[in-house]
Amino acid sequence: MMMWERIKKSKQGLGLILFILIVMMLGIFAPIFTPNDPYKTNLVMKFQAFSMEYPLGTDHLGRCILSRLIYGIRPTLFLAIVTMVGTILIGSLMGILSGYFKGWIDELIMRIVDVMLSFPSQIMIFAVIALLGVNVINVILANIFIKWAWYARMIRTKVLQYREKDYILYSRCIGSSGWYILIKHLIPNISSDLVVLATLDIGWALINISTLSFLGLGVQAPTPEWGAMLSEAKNFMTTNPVQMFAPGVAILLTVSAFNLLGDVMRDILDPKEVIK
Amino acid sequence: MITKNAIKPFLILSIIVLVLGIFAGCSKTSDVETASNLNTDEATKMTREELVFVNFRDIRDLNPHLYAGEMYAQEMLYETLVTISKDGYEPCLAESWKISKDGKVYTFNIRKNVYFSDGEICDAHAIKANFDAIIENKERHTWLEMMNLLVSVEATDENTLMITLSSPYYPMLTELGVTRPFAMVSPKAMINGSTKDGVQEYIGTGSYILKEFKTDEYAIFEKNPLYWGEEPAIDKITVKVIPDNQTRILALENGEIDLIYGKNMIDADTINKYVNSEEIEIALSKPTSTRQLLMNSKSPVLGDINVRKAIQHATDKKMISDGIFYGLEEPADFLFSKTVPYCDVAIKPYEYNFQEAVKLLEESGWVVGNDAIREKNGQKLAFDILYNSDSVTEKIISEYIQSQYSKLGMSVTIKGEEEQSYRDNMKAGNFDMVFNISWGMPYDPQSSLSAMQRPVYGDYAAQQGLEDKTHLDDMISKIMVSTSEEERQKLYNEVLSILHEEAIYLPLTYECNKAVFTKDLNNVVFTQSQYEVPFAMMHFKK
Repeated sequence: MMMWERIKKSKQGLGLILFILIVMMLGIFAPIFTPNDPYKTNLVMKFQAFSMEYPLGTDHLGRCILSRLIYGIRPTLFLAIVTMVGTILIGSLMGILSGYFKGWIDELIMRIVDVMLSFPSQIMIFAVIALLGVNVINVILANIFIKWAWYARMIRTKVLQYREKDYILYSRCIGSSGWYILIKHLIPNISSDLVVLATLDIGWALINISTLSFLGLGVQAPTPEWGAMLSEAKNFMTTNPVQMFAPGVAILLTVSAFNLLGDVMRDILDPKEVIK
Repeated sequence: MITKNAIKPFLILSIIVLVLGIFAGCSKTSDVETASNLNTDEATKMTREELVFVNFRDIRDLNPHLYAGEMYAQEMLYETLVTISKDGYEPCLAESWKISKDGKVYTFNIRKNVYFSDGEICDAHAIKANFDAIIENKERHTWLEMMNLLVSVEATDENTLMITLSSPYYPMLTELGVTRPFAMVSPKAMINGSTKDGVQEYIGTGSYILKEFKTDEYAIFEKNPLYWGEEPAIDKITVKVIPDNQTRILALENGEIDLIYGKNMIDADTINKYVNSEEIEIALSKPTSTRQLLMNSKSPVLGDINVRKAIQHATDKKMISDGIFYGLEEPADFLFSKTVPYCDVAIKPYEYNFQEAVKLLEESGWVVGNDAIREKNGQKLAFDILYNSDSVTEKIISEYIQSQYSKLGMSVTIKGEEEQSYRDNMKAGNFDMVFNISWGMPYDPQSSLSAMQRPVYGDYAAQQGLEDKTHLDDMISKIMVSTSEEERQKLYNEVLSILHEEAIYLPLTYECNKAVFTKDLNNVVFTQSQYEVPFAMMHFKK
């Protein structure tokens, strides 16, 4: 657990991980932390200011914004994590296959990757959703479908770096099977890169899911989701501008946390750093 | 230590951005105010003869003999034989008219010296040419019962037009007074005397002409120099296309536009915001029509009349009226308000009563399942609500009733679509529950009912599951050709009672037309038709 040892030394890293863990805990145990039912509408109480009963006020249907924000962690963050896991799995599988076996497999995968990367990702996501229909699962599929190619290429480069190393050549000489080399030698080596990529990817996925929900293509009403909440607040931008703050700041902080954590991880896991 | 140094700038930067963002957010309103002051100052120095109006979409095809254009623009360009005012029918292109004793022959005395804006004379022959073009595309207009009764249209001389019907038809003049399809377009603009495949130019006799337009951006209308009637005060009307409600309001606040007008263009929160405003005025019409939901009797769930009745009882209209509309729109109990002609029918409204709703569902065999959703014979009590995402309030109402019905054990999915696809789906019957398009005066009740007999909006499709649909259609046809007032009223009573009993219409509020506009603009009024924007009556303060 070299990685963990190194992370422990970084205050920023620990702070960010703590923040993310707290957010996740809030999401997992949402019913305990929410002061009100996030689905309960009460039109008489709409657009309430901050109060003891409604710490962040109420929205256009009189629902508690804080409760919705906390429940919103579930789709927002957990869908982002599912997306990330999916992307990394497919991406690294393709990358490793391509980098390790080379030859025609490499050619085939890399040409597909070229095609995928030549499209602007947002447009492709819209196209996929238009084809499959508006639905949370389709949003995740679309995101994975678009993003895997990028990871495949990154991972392939890493694999190429390591596959000609002496110890791998040695391992091959003594007759280790391809899979053995992959699992015992290659994957541990690229795992630190994977962690960095994965962390950065959550931030990206989070923004993307929120964007799609903002546009009405992702999570559907009445499920609380940060992007969808922002989109609803947008409809009252001139009359009740305060509505936009809670979901907006929540997205900002969480995405920043993941991106900063990604940067910290990259610095920590940089091999050059270790030598020092 | 490299790590620390690498992160610090990031953190500092993000904090700066956040703080700046908050300040920018706060100072925005004051910026807007100063900007609007500047604009109005500049504007008053110049003579204000240009009005900037806004609409959520393009003017599209303004051929008045088809239905694809924006009606406010068609009302500006074209005129009809008669106009409908609150006092009855008023002469327009026809100066006067006579109805034969048997009610079958209408003789119109056409106004002299009326010219289309391309210089063509608008006499009885030109009007006859228009009728020919309309009749050529008869199937498209069958929602107007008179199309089925029409025997002949003749121009006996330059100033006389004679219309003969096969049987007397009481809403005849009303139907001739609606913009579509009976507005007159210059015969020169027709393509080989026909309009069903489009027109060459949008040329009418109205008070304005279409000067210039750029699809999805703007349209410019100017005063028609050949107009026969009173000259409008405002020379030029520019219509901008702004689809988003909030953008429209910001544009109004900073003086980019002068007027927002329409039933679904302004939400009640905005109206409330400007009640005491120094810069912006508001206007509300009397109730024009009924905001209503339509339930599809062919839907597997809503086909059950008890579910429909339960929904009627479970909808808190008072709360929608107070909570969403701040009381600007009164709760509605009936498909047509009792003030609509022939609609003061003795029927009992569905009271808001949650227990009653639960009882109806239980009795009908819908029991709560494991997931808190009711079901019956394996069928979940789940359905969709389709709304028009271009409307500013339909989404909020949908969300509200979605949460209300969920308490009843119903699983409701709400689905918003932009206006055209919403209308297409509605017409095709692809919905469980949909925000119906209410017609308002002068179409209520005769044209709205008549349109239920054919796929015009969603009504026809939604009523297919009713047992007495054919009987209903028969009675509606009879109403239209009935000659005695008493019989007509009796038939209306019966039709309206059946529709009420079947509970497929869920009236919500009596909606009204709304306008918000700059204080400089005077005489922003509402006419009988909820689709018209009476620009010709407006003027700027001196």
